[in-house]
Amino acid sequence: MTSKEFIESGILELYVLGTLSAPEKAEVERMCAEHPEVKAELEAVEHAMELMDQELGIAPPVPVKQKLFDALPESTLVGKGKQIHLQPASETKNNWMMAASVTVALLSFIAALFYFQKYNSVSGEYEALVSQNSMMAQELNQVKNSHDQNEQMLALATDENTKRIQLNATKEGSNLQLFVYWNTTSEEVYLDLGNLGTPGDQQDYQLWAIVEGKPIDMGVIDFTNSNSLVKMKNIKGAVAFAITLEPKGGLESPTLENMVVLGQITT
Amino acid sequence: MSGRTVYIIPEEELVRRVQEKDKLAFEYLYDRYSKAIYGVVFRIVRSEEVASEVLNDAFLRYWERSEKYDSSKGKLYTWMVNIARNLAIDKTRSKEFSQSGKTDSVESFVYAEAALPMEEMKVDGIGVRELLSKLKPDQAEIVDLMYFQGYTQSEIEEKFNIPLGTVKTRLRAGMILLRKLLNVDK
Repeated sequence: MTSKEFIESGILELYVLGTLSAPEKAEVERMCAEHPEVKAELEAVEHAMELMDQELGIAPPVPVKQKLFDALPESTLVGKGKQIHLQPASETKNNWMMAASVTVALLSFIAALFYFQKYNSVSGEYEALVSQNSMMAQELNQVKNSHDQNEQMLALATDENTKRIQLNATKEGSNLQLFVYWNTTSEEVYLDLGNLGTPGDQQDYQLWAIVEGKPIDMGVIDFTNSNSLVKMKNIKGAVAFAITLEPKGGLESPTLENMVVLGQITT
Repeated sequence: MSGRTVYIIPEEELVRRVQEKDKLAFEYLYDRYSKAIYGVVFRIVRSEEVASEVLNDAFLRYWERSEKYDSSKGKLYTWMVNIARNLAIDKTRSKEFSQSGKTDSVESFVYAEAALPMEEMKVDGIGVRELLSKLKPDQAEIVDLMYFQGYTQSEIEEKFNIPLGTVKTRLRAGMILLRKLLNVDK
């Protein structure tokens, strides 16, 4: 049977209506896999039936939706509330019940006084817990941020196109050490601040890349994020990176005597 | 849960999210398809009460068995509507339903539409009966029985004594004409 005859036999319509036997279904699936024109016609039939059904659709009664969603099993992530079973009251003699209920009323009154006092102290505790909770949420946020950073750092560090360049102190007696992570494909540059402290109010540390013998400004180092990893400007073709201490806001060209660290790229 | 929903979630993502038991995605699925599916089911069972029950059962099944859907075998809607159609057909065959009865003679199919409520007759200006009246009677009969009433080809062969090959070609010819009438071809 050619694919044209197959299509015109009307078997695809039956397939979409779901009334074929298993071997017939398998045959349709085989023909679809082998003949793109059969697959295309099947899709056209499906598409047409879907649109026809939409066109001829009838809005179901409104309560059906609510009932359905109420009945959906909860996701396993959501804890199930404890069920409290009420025991039916057992039958007892009336006068005994009377005495008991008076006692219960008295006890309830005393309990009410007790709980009123208790309530006052608990509401204070509640306030404290709420503020504690919001503090913990903040802390969690910070932890998340630092986690994201670490992941970013890890992704960068493990990328085969990332070079890790060690920048060492250029002045005697300084033990400064920093790392530049430079992805030569994406050209992104991150600076790991290492043990670099913040400069004074009037000054900024500025990163430079040496490209074809000339220093290129890579931006001043932003210490406002407490992150140890700072994104700098993108660069290509760098042979070395250096940091200088410059007046606030940085300069267009570096002040060489104020260089604090330098690292050459080994190839 | 109200207002006109804009259907923008791509089918693949919708399937994945429903399979991950994402209730929002499932609500989107309901909003998007419940009308089409309820229409199909209603035309088979002919009762608001039974159709609501079938729709509910069908959606519970989509929720519970979404991982069974295989996109290589067809579109999501095809899978959904087949489950619903089968549930509806099962209902019509069950004991409780046999009293009210589904049409079982060629003669009655043309009158069956009269039993449907008003809103079904004209949906966006198009009713099933109006559509069928545009087909040749023999095509309209098969399309009505199979597409709108949920009969299988072998049931039609047995009950109405129409050969299987004829059932298939009439169905296809009728469906092609409907596709043109409703202007739904891509």
